[in-house]
Amino acid sequence: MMQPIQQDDMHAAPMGPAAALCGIRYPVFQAGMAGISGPALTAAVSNAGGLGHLGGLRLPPLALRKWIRETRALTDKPFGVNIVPSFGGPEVFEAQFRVILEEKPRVVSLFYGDFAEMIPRAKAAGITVIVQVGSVALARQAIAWGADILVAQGAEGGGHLNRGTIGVLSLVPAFVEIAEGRPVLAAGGITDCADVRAVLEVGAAGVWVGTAFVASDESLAHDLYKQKIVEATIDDTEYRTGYSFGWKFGTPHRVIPNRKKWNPIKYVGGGARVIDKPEMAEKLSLYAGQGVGKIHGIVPAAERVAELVAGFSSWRAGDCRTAAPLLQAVA
Amino acid sequence: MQMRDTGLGFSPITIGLHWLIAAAVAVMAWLGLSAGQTDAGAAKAELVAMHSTLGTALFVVAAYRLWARLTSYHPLPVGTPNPIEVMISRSVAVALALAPVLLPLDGWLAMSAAGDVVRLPGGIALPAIVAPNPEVEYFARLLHKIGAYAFLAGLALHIFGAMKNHFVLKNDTLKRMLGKRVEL
Repeated sequence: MMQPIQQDDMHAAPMGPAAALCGIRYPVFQAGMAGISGPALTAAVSNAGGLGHLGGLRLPPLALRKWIRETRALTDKPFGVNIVPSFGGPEVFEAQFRVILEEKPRVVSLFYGDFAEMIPRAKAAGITVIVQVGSVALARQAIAWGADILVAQGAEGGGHLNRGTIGVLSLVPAFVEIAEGRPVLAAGGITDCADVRAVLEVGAAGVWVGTAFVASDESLAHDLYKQKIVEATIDDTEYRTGYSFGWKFGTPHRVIPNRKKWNPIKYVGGGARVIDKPEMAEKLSLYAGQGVGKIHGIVPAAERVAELVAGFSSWRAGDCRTAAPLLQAVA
Repeated sequence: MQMRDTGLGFSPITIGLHWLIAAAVAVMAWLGLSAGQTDAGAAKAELVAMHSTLGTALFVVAAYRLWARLTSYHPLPVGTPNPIEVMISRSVAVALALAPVLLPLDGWLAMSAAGDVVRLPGGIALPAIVAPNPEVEYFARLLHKIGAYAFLAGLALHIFGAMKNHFVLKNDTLKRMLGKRVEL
C-alpha cells in the first residue's frame, strides 16, 4: 500500500507547469466523470494534492452550483469542473457555463465541442482552461481557442473518446511538439506510478486519470460497477461506436462489455451510479479504460493519488511494483 | 415568447399543443370506438364524418408537433431518474407524437380503398389516394385498429409515468407540462 502523502510535502512548490497553472502540488488530475465524480471524490483528490474534477455533464445548472458549493465546504484546495456540450442542447451548456463563471472554480475542463467563444470568457474570469482531445487536428484547434492545458486522450481511455484510435504514447509527443509550451497531460489507461513514468518519458507534464478513481471509496459509482472494474482484466474492455446514454449514436467510447444473453441494454454504454438500481450495473456495458487490469481494489482516492505521485519521483528500484520484476530480470 | 423547447424548459406552444392534442385524441378515440359499435346508417356515417374531420385537423397539428419534437432539444428530466426509464419514457412520448400523424393517413387510405370520400366541413372532399380495393381496405383498417390500441397502451404508460412523478416521486414533472416554470 502506498504511504499517504506527508503534509509537509503538500506545501512544497508545485511540481511542474501544469500543477503551477492550477495551483496544486502534484500534476495528478482526476477526470470529470458524469454522475460519478461528485463533491466527495473531487475534494478527496484535491485534498491529496492533485486536482479533483466535478463531472458536470448531465447536471442541471442548479445541481451544478450545489455541487460546487458542497465541494468548497469539503476542501480549500483548487478543484475543477468538467462540462461537455453533448446533452440538453446549447441553452443547458450556456447555463452551466454561467454557473461556472459565477462560482469561479480554479479550473474548467472541456471536451467534445466548439469552445471558441467560451474559452476567452473563462480566461477573463480567471479560470484555467483545460481541453481534452484525441487528435493533433483537434489539439491545434484547442490551442487556437486559447486552451491553457491540453489533455492528450489516448484510445486506451474509458468513457467517451474523440474519433480515432491513437494511443497515448504516440499522442503525447505529437501534442508537445505543437503545444507552444503549454503543458500536455496524458490520459488513457493510466493507473499506477509505472504508467506515470512511461508518459513522463514521452513528454507529459501530468496525468489525467478516470477509471482508477471510479474504483475509489469516494466515487459515486455503484458498488457493482466498482467491483466490475476490480474484477476486469486487461482483455476486458472494448472500443465501441454504438449507443451510449445521452450521447449521439456513434460517439466512440470504451466499456467493459456486458455479455449477458437476452439483455438488450448491453448495447448501451453507461455508468451506474450509487443511486441507480443494481440492474443498471448488471445490464449496462460500463465505461472503463484499458488500465482496469491493474486495478485490484477499491481504495481511498488519496491512496490512488499517492500511487500516481510516486511516478513523478526520481527512479528508485522497487518504487513501482510493476517495475520490480523487470529490474530483477535486467540484473 | 419562447417559440421552441430547449433543454431548460418547454415552450408555451408545446404546452398548449400537448393539451390540445390530448383533448382531440380523447374525442377521436371516443368517436372511433362509438362508430365501431354503431350499426351502419346515418348515425354511423355522422360519427365517421366527425372522426374524419377531427382526424384531418389533428394530422396538421400533430405533424407540426412531431416536427418540433424531433428538431428541438427536450427539457432535462426533473430529479435524478434512472437513465433506462428516461429512454423508455422519451421513446413512448415520441411514439405518441407520431401516432396522430400516421393514424389519420391510414384512415384516409382505408376510406379511399373502401371507395368512401373523406368529407370535411365547407364541402371539401379529400381526393382518394388509392382506387377501391377490398384487400387494401382490410389491411388499412386492421392497421388502424392495431395502431389505435397500441397508441392507447402507450398513452396509459405515459399517464402512469406522469402520475408516478406527481404522486409517488412528488416532483414537478406534471406541473411543468401544466405551465409551471421549473428552474433546473
